Amino acid sequence: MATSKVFLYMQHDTVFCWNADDILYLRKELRIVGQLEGCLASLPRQLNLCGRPLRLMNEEAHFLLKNNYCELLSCSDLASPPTKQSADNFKEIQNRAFEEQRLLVKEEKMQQILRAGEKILEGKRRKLNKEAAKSGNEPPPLTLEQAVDEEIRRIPELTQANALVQIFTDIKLFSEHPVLDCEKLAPISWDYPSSENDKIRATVYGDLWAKGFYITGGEKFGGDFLVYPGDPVRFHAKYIAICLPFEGLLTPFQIAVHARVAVSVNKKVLLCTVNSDSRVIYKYLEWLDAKREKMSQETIK
Amino acid sequence: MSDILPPPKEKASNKWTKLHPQLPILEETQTGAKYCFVKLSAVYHGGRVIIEDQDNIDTLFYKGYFGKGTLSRGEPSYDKTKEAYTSSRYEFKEVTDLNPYNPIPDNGKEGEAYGDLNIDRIISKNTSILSALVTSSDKIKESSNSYEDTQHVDFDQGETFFDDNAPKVTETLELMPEEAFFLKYSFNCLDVYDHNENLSIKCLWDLFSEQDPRFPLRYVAYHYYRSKGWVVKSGLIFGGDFALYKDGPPHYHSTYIILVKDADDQGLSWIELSAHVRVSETIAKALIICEIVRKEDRNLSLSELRDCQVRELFIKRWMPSKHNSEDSGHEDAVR
Repeated sequence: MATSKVFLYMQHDTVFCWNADDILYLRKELRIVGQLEGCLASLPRQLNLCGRPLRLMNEEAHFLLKNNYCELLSCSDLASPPTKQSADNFKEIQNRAFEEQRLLVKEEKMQQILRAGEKILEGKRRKLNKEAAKSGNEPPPLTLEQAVDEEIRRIPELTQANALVQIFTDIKLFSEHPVLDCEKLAPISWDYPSSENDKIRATVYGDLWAKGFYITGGEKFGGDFLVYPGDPVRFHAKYIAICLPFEGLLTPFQIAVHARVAVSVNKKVLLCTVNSDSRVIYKYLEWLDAKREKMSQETIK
Repeated sequence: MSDILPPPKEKASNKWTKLHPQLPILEETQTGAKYCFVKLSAVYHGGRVIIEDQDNIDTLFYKGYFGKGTLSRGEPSYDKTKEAYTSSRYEFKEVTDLNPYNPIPDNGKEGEAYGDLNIDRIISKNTSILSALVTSSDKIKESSNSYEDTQHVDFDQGETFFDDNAPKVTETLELMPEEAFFLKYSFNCLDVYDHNENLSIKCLWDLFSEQDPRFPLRYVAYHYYRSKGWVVKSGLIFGGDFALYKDGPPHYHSTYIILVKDADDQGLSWIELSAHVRVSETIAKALIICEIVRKEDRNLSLSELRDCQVRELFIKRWMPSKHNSEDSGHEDAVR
């Protein structure tokens, strides 16, 4: 948590966080929201509810690294397909896990049967009596051991389809099972931000964060960021932040399209830019409705 | 089935709105030629093409839906309503204190500076319609204030006092550069005068291209769709270059929003594209990206118009959830 350093992992030019405690820490203490992108083991084949890893925006990761909240690692082994040795090791781990499960399941079932031995005996005796009454013969004798043994023999074997599969989400475990070469897991340096646009986005992100907002990606609404006054799970976004270069042109089409999207989803367009003194300037777009203006002017009169 | 282009939707008012025979209008001349097109005249003033003559305004608007009334939302209706459409508009306001605890109030009066972003210059350069909305409405506000001050209606006495010295407010029609050029170039039924000088086609082309670097590209798309029979109007309100109407705005809802793009250009970033898609979905119109393929690499000139090719891309958002029901049989097989 706060004592041990949070590790972030770089894969395919994207920064991820795998540890559940770290993810909660990032959200609660550091206001970093990110986006869960992995498959939830308990709810596969859908995208509404995702699990680990947490994908971080470039700006979020840059902010964390710059302020020394986290360390960035990368495993070069993951860049290429697994070697035969790694694949064999992994299969061996899976088989061992399955074997352990098989034995455990059988053991558990046996204990259940032994505990319910009396009831099983009674049930079997009743059944035998019923058959005897029908056929008119004497019911055969039955001991507890015989009844229990019969049931134990009927325990089904655990199949692969019903076995639990362990999904490794924390790379620390790999130090015990040598599938990945842990030597290859090392801190890396990251050349971000490099382009002008990236620099502006990173600066604006830092400034918005410093003001106390929660910030997530704004791709859904055609903007750069979505700015929330509180945790996104409790608040709606207030602004759609669009980062612009200081000397750039803003066409009327951009104004129209961004303002229209914002009005239809009840948010405000926040235009952000960074001037030559590295100060962030914010402007917002106001849609002045002619009718409402007229009405409000009349009420003033 | 929803992946095909949506057809035009008729408006309820289509039943009683008359569709006049469209421009160009043929008439017999006194000279040897049997027919020629009726000539209309416009004035080029401050970067805008204005039609001042009332008959010309009616002809141009009702026979082809060219142009936009300067005091109205679309159709030049100032004479009927006597109410200048004082634009709904976008304003830029500076944020003085951005923090999570005090959100920016709706229609707040926080700051009026345009300042650092240099927006004014951009707006007036890249569009005639948007700046026209702002400037013309400002002018009208001034003059109509005095008009209303001097006019009061006393219903009890049934007497009305008018001041004949108040300035008369007249509405003119403003044409997009593409519209003006189309009428001049294709039909030669419009003369554009700049200080009493009738501008030639070449002159007009150069003038418009200088005013808006995207004019040549936009014109190719405009000409293309007009030739196909669509009524092409400005799509600025929808965030696009043009909006296509079948027959005209009073008859059908605009069906398509056109974004004009150079084929060699990288085009919109995907975030901006998603904003366009989102807007067109909200207003139930289809988004079409019109790519202009030029022959030469340099700037498009008048002589190269014919060699251009147009490529259309219909952009639509695909949602996996909507297609799930079709795949349900497939999923059972997998299980």
